[in-house]
Amino acid sequence: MTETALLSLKKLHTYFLAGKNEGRAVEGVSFDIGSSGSVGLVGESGCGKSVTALSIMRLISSPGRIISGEILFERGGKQVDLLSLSEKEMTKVRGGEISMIFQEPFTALNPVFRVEAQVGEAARLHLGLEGKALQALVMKALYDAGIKEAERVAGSYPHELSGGLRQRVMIAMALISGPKLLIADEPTTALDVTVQAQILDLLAEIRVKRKLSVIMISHDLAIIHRICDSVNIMYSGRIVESSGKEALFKSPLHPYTAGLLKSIPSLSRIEKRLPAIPGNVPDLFDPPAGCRFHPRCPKAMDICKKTEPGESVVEGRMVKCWLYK
Amino acid sequence: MARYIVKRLLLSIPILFGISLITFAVIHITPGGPTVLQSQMNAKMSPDSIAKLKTLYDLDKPLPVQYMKWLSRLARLDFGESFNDNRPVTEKILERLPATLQLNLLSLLLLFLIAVPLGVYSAAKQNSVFDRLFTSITFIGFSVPSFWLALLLMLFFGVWLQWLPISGMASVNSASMPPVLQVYDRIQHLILPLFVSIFGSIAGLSRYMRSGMLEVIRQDYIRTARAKGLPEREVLLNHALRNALLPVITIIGLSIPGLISGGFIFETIFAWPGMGRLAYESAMSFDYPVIMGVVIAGALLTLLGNLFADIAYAFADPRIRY
Repeated sequence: MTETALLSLKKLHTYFLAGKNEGRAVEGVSFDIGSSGSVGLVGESGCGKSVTALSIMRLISSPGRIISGEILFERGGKQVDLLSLSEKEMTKVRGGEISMIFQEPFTALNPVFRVEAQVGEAARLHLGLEGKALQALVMKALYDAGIKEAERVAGSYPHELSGGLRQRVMIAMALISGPKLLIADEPTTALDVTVQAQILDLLAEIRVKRKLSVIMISHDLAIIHRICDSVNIMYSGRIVESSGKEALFKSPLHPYTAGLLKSIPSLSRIEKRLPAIPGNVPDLFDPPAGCRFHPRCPKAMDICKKTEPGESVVEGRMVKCWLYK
Repeated sequence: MARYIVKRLLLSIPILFGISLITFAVIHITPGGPTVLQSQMNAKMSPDSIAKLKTLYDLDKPLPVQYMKWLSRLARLDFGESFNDNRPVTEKILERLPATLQLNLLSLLLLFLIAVPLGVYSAAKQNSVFDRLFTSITFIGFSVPSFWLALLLMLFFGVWLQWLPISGMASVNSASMPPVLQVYDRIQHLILPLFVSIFGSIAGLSRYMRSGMLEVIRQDYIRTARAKGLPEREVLLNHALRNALLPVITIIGLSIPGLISGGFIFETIFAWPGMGRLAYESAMSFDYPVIMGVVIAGALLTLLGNLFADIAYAFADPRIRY
């Protein structure tokens, strides 16, 4: 862990227990994020990105459980393991120091409360504001999230707003108490493309302005490229490649990363058929032996089927693949 | 909103009309009749006097004519007179209405106050010992017939333990009691009828509340509320409960007819001087005008209850606008 790390995950294991079986959703994930850094978590659906994020917030609900690992977070100049905090202490972290925004702005807002009440709640809890001061802060938060008609939106119910506005409301709600870290779990997946671009611009702008650290979760490498400095590629509950953004996009090390990059559609490269990675993400309850990716890997060797590769370091980048041993 | 209420009220006119027509048909199809009952009681009654009685009650006229006569009086808000004691039906109903309303409104209130917290607590502690115990008890509550439970409780608390009175609204000598004791006396008389009238409904509503809460807890916005740092208590009682209560409003609206019709049985068992018992008595003696009056009054209460529930729903759920 570097001196400046704001959050540092160490060998996080989160399993889902179903009778005697356990679904190993996250298995030994470690990464650091420095203050005002931005890290991307990339992978297909079901590779453990969201579970990792929810584990950091300690919002994993039964039958899921954080089995082991450490989540070190800087609080008041000290590194504190979030997993050792009491639930009461943890509520101060959530929304106050680490905030999270979600994929579906349509369902992530409570339908029966006005925007004002939902956005203000976090500030009431963490900053102890009330009345006029709270109202003023809510307006400022909405305005900072790029909502021009803050007055109207504040008095609206979520169903009266468009998807883009709702996601801006989510962002206002997440940032109102001035957290140090924002976890964005596929924040633009449910939005249409033009709105996506606006929301990403907003996030990029806020990140710089507030010196906010961001963990961006996405299956879309283009989004990651726009927001993040470094990228962690996840597959079947583990990080298979971790690298700075430029290097990763220029020369991917892991065959899975290469596959993901190839499947980005591009206007300058018109093909009959978009290359896709064949097969599906492995079943968490019954993963393949050896390297989890070998059944789908174009470069699979004999050893890949038997033994799981450890970490290799290539030019300062981490990769888990037998090609680099 | 005002337009909606007016529309609903106008719509209830044809519904009431239909109810009255069906009720009228059913009670006249039923074998027997007021004159049969009176002539059976009195062997000396001649066919001649039976015919006279029929003319007096208009029962010699064809059914459609009888119905039209009844309807035309109703249009003037006149429900006619009872066959039994010749008193106006309106008067008889108004005399019984307070007792029924008292019991039903108290039932609804208690039902809500007991069932909602039970359901919420059970959902919050899903699969705990309390939850499992609660689930078994509600199944018993659901399956026990209320008349049987009423008799059992009367036997136990009224006859064996002699803790509670088993019938009526007040003791015979209540008028001579000091006010405080009068209230106490009334409450004592309320306990058993209230308990019986809500026991089954508590089971149903709290079960409904429990599954509603469990459903809502899984929603994304609950995760958002937790991610904001709200304590679990606030997440449940504020964010989840508001949403889980919405369907309950409808359920309560739907349960009003059940409470009123259930009153037929246990008002009779507990000799509660309400509309249910009046309906039972008049049905037994073929007192056609009173039966019609009670049914229409019950239907009116039901329709108003449902309208009230729909209006309340619009206030509770911002997504619904009429």
